[in-house]
This record gives sequence, C-alpha cells and structure tokens, in this order.
Amino acid sequence: MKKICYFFTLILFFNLCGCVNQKTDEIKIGVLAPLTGNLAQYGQAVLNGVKLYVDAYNENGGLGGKPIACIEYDEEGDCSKAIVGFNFLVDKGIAGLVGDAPSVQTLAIVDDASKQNFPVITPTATAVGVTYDEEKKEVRKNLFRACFLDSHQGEKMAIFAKKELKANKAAVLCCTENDHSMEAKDFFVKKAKELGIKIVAIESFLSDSKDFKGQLTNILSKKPDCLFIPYYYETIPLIASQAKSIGLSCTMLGTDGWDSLTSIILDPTLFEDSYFCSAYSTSDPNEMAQTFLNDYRKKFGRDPNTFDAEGYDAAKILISAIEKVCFKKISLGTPEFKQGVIDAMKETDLECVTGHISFDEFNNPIKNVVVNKIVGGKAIFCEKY
Amino acid sequence: MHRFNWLLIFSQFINGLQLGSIYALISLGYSMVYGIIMLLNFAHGDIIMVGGYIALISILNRFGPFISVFFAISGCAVISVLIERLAYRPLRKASKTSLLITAIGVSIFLQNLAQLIFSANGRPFPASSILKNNKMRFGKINVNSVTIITILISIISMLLLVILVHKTKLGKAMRAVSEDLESGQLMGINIDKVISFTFILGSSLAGIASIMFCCQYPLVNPTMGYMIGMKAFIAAVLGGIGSIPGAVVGGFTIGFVEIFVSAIGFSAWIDVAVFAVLIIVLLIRPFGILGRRLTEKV
Repeated sequence: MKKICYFFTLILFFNLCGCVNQKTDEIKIGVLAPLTGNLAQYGQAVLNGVKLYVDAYNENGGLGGKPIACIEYDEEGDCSKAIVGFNFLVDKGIAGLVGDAPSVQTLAIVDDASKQNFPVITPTATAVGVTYDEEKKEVRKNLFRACFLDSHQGEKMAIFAKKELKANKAAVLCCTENDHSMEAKDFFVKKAKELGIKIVAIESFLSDSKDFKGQLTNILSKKPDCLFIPYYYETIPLIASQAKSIGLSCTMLGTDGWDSLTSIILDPTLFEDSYFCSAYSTSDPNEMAQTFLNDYRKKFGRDPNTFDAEGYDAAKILISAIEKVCFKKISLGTPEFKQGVIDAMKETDLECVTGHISFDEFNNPIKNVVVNKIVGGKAIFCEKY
Repeated sequence: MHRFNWLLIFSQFINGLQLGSIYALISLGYSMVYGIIMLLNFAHGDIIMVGGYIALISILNRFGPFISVFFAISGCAVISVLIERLAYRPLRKASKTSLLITAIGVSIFLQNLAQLIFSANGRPFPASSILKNNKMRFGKINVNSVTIITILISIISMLLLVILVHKTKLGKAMRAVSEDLESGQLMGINIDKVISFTFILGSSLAGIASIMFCCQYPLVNPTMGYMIGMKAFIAAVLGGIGSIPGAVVGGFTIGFVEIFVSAIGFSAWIDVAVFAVLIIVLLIRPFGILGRRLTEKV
C-alpha cells in the first residue's frame, strides 16, 4: 500500500511539474470508456459521438478562440482500470469528464468523483446509483447522465398506450432476472394504473427461457389490448412467434432493448404494428438529429446508433457548461471552476440530438423518448413522447 | 368467475406435450449412452446446438428442407462419433470421474468453438423454410401445425427406437452390453461397434430434436444446448437413467411441470419446481421412476 501511495505521489508530482509547462491555449475534456474488450462497441460509439461534437465545435472557432482537446482513456471494461483512468484524466487537468459508458464501471468511479466534487456526465450508464447515493440517500450533485432511465421508458410507453392506442387492458411479460426489465415493468404498471389502464396479467420468465407458451396462453385468456415486453431484442422474435402460434395477436410494446431487433427479423408479419421506444432514431425528422446523422455518416461512413448520439449529447452538455464558466473568467482547475461547471450543467436547457434536455432533481435528463413503429420489418419513427 | 376454463387447460396441455416431447427426445440420448458405458455425456446438449447451426447454414445455402434436415441429423451423428473416438475411447479404462470431466470439457469446447466460428450473438432461425407454420383450429382452440408435427415426430422416433432396441440383433447387442460390458465382449460382441452405434442413435435423436427445437424457438446461439441439455439430463435421471421408457416418462414429466408452473402464474419459479420434483422423486425412488435398482458389482 505504501508503495502504491509513493507511486501515485510521484505521478502527481510529475504532473504538477507538467502543469507549469502546460499549453494554456486549449481546454481539455476527458473521455473514459471501454475502447477495447467485450464492451468496446459501446465505448467506441460514445467516443465517436464525443469526437464528432468536439471537432465541429473547434471548427466553429472553439471556446473563445481556444480549441477543446479531447483526452481519451481506455478502461477495457475493468472497474479498477476505470478508477485509475479517472485519476489519470483528472491529473491531466481536464475541465470535465464524459464517462464512463457502462453502468458498472461508472459506479466504480462515482465515489472518487464525488469526493473531488468533479463534474462528470455519463452518456449511457443507466444504473440509479450513478447519480443517487443509495447509502447516504442523497443525490450526487456532481454527476449527471445524458441517457434516460428504464423507469422513464416504462412510464412513457404506458402514456403512449393510453393516448395513441386507446388501450384499456394491458398485459406485461418481463424477465425477473433482469434489472432493466423489472424496472421498466414496475413503472409501466404504476403509470398505466394511474391512467386508468387495467393491467390484466403480469407474467414473467427467466433470462435463459426459450419457452413462453405457458405465460402467453395465460395472457391470451385475459384478452389484453396490448402487451408490454421490456427485454432484449434476441428473445423478442421467440416470444412473437410463440404468441402468433397460440393465436395471441395484440399490439406489442417494447423498450430500447428492442433497438437492434429489426436487424434479425425474418418474418415481418410477426411484428406488424408493434412499437418500441428508444433514445434516438435515424429517421427522426428533427433538424438537429438529421444534421447529426449526415455529419456522422460523412465522418465514419456508417449510421450512428443510440450510443453515438448520447456521447454527442453528453459532450454538448459538458462543453456548454464549461463555456458558461469560462465566460465568467474563473480560472481552470480551481474548486470554484468545478462547482461552476456543475451548477451550469444543472441548469442545462439545450436542444440536443436525442431531444430537448434539462435535468430533474436527481440529475436525470427530462427528455422525450422516440417511439418507433415496426412496419414491414423496419423501424419507422412514429412519435416523440 | 371461478369456473374451470377447459379451453385454457387444454391449450396448456398441448404446450406441455410439445415441450415434453422435445425433452424426451434429448434425454433418450443421455440415457442410452449412460446405459452402455456409464458416462454422463454432458456434451449431448451441445449436439443440439451443432445440429441447429448445421441446419441454419444449410438453409442459408439454399439446400432444400429435406436435405438440410438430413445434413443436421447426420452432422450430429458424425460429430458425436468423432467425440467418442477422440475423447471418450482413449479413456475407457480410466476412472468414471475422468470420463465425466472429459465430457464437461467437450461441452465447453463445443460451445467455445461455435462462439469462435459464429460469434456469441444469437442468429434467427428461418423456421418457416423447414416447416410451414399453419394455424389449425379445433373448435375454439388455436394449435399450430409445428406443435402437432413435433409431438408426432417425437412419438414416431421413440417407437422406432423401441423396435430397434428390442427386435434387431444390434439392439440385442446393445442390451447385452448395457447389462454387462465385459461378459458381452466375451460372448463375441464388438464393443466398439456397439458403442459407436449407440452414440449415432442418441445423437441422431438429438439432431431430430434440434430441428424441432429450432422450429419452435427460432433462435440459434452457441449456448442454446446448455440449459436444454441440463433439463433433458434431469429428465433422464428422473425417469431412471439407463432406461429408455424412463427417459420418455421423465421428459414428459419435466415438460408438464414447467408448463403447469407457468400456467398457475409462477413462471419465475420454473427451475425451482423442476429441481424440487427431481429431489422429491429421488428421495422416494433413488433410482428414478422407472429405473432398476442396481447393486454395485465388486
């Protein structure tokens, strides 16, 4: 332990020395994400989104003439490396951090970040504990997220079912072993009851289930208008084909777990008139979303996904906050600067790619979800809620 | 309101029958191999996965449904004979534990090989190009044709197997070897041949099961065989491992228990119920429902 302490003191010392010679004509932000390993696809997407925003921002003159530099750290999907990475980036003198991408690794750094009162925005971590300290029962004031929570999706889909589908009876099929599924279910049921939708059946399954006929037959006997299935896309075709085979033909609703569903649909008739919500859709007609889509295609040669969009938005929120503080002429690296960025982020009121974003008391974004309709095996932008 | 809903009960009965018939087909393979060489062949579940991928690839390469099914079944047979040759035969004189551990090793090997070749992501199975899913109506009940065909094919395969084991010379040899391997050998039975044949038979049934499974649950992934293999193994133990009718009874029992549990609204408790049934049956009849009491030979 002592040795490690010495080691870090040494690193800190060299970094302090470095600060003296530091170029003062650029402002740094950090990106902490898994850029290699199992979770690399999330991390890379987030990084692409951040880079796209930063490059565009610098082309437009940067922050009062100073360019923004983006320092990335690859934590390889490892919690201890995430902590090392966080401290490394802070020592590099970043003004704020975009990261980490997955929930587990983000939870690993929140304590360090809170101690230093360091402004952090995670683009994609959905765990409640990221912005809310469940032990102390208080909000982590310095942590924000750009993505919405599973609870948010459940509520929005219930509203959608009431308003657009005029549903009176709804059923839910969820996975008891999965947090995403259970949280979305709880809030769907709660909101649906508030809106006067009768929940006629709540059936569940285990994460490695292949057979859903028992549950679906029960649901069929209750004759619901719609069936909410908050789960991941691989399992959805199994459920849909078994639903069809027993003669259950109500409208199916899903969450952003369905995002890649359309890439594996073989029989489009199974999903005719199904809906799912997501944070971002390439067919969103909103001008900012379309500009983002075109810029992204130009730069990376493929279509962006939700993680790209959320990385972009996170960078936008952070940089806008830094901008506000810099105009107040507070010098970089001071506690006042950090507090300034945090306060500015809290007051965020921005038009972003994934919709208009402001933050609620738990530092979760208040924004609309995109509801997609599946038509002929393709997801079509339908509505914003 | 508390009237019996006969329609619901009948639909759930069909569901149980269909799930049970798949379990029965797979547990037959476990049971036969155990009966012959006392090996719990844990790689048997992964043979289902191999069959699924072979069928998938053949269909994607535009072979017809019959040829794809043939490829899948014979592919399963070839792979399991290879496994027996390369992994189990060299260890026939070794302890039972080494064999068991080798079987687990083969299972892990197959799963990881599939992951290496096909990636860990599941792939949708084009079920409709093998079996058209037609809706059939009996009165007010919707039953799809795949379910009926699954049940029929399973029953026919099981009947054929019984005939094969009880009416042919090879079947006689199999029964003799399962009774006593060494005496069988002394009577002039070619042990290697009988063992290979048993593996071929068991894995062909697994091949049929994998086609039925993929048509019902159209998703193929490298770990798909694990859970279903586990359930089929439980079915084999429940019915009395080593006994062919026992495997069938065990398979249907597990299928009905699963559907019953989810029908009464406890779908999250399916696995608990399955294992509880296993424990209860083994407490009452330690050798399984139809198993024979075996005394250890000294």
